[in-house]
Amino acid sequence: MPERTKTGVPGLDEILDGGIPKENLVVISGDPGSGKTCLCLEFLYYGAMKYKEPGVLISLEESEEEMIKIASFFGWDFKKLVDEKKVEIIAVELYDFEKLRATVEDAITRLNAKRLVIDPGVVFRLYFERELDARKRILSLGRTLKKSGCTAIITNEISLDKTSSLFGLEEYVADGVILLYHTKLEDRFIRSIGVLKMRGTKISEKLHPITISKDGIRILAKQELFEEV
Amino acid sequence: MARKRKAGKKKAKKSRRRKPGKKLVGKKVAKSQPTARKELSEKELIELLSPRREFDLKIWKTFEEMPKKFCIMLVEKLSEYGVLNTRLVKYFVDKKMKGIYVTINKNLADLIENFNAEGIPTDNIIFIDAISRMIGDNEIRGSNFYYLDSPRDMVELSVALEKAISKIGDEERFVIIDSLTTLLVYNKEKIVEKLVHSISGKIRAWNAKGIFILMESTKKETTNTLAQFCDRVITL
Repeated sequence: MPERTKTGVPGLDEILDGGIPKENLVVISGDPGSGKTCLCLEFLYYGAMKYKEPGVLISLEESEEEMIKIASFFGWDFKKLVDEKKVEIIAVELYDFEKLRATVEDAITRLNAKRLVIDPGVVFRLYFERELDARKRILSLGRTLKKSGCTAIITNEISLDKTSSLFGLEEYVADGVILLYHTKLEDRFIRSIGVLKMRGTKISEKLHPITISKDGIRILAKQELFEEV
Repeated sequence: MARKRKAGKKKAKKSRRRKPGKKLVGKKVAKSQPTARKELSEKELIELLSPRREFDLKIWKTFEEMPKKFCIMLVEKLSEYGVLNTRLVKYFVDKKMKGIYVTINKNLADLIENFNAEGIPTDNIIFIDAISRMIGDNEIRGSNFYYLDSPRDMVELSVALEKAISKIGDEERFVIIDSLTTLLVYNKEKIVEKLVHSISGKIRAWNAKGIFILMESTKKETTNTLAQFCDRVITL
């Protein structure tokens, strides 16, 4: 049985048979507004606070201040965690993939990080003109991340067929894929989560409802989804 | 001060045995008079003959013979609705039971007003209100009140039920869902069927007494499907 990284997200470890296998690379693909960033922030927050595992957040879109502000909505003081060197937030702007990779490696070493989040992974596409280059580099990044000793999460937008991310690439590199849905029903939206794959893990085959409140994201692992999503 | 008997002297027993030849003569008893009838006041008479009493008797007769835990569907006529629900709650409350009342028809404020008017205490009832927030009614604050955004929030209803039952503890408890007919107005049949199946299973696991209220006017096919998840279908 592989050793597991407890995510700290209520209900998530239940549907992952105890957590993410240590040092796995997981892609979280989701609809806009489905809670990807919230889940990742919660993963880093509880990693640092509860499990004493430092974490690195590589933000490819939002600034460090914006990320700290988003986390504060849920009562997570990331500024304090950054000051205490339990978390590092790096906002990367230059579209230089090698520089990105070096930044990731340096940050992990500096903090002796055990958790890593790259959000949003869809921005990788802007780094490359050709699909083939993208594939090669992302495969290489995947290998780097696996050697880093971190349990890593990359977020992505979901495709129209609702089973893979926009370019389907990261799922082939990743050890695990978690899907977040934000589905419109007749007169409202509902949120749900499903585990498409997770190596070395007995996963739940069902979709589970999720809630996002001022306390963060919560997976209702024991509840049924009554509506068809 | 008790009189002390001299040692050796026994108290003479009064013999009740008839001496031979003597007629038994008892105490003189006045000729029996019919017991004076208590006159009922008009108010008492009305109360005795009211539909509420009739419902109380029907409820008592039906539920007294029920097992400790059950899950039933109670089919109500439109004319009975409201009064029957109130008397049902009174029956459980009078038995000192704690319970959960899920209201999908009536907003909580009006429901509690009804109970108060009937003299039914609500301290031991946890209410889950699926309608007030949707219609923009004021919410009553309190740890015994849960509000759902709308009657469409099936997952939230399920979560609220679990939270409520854990508050009550292991005592004998009841769960009333009022009503499935209104749930069907807001949700597709398949969804309500899944919900009833799920909740009825939970009620049994909780060793509770579950009552799903359904109006008589509900489509027969739907009633039949929902009925399979219950132990009995009752019409009072």
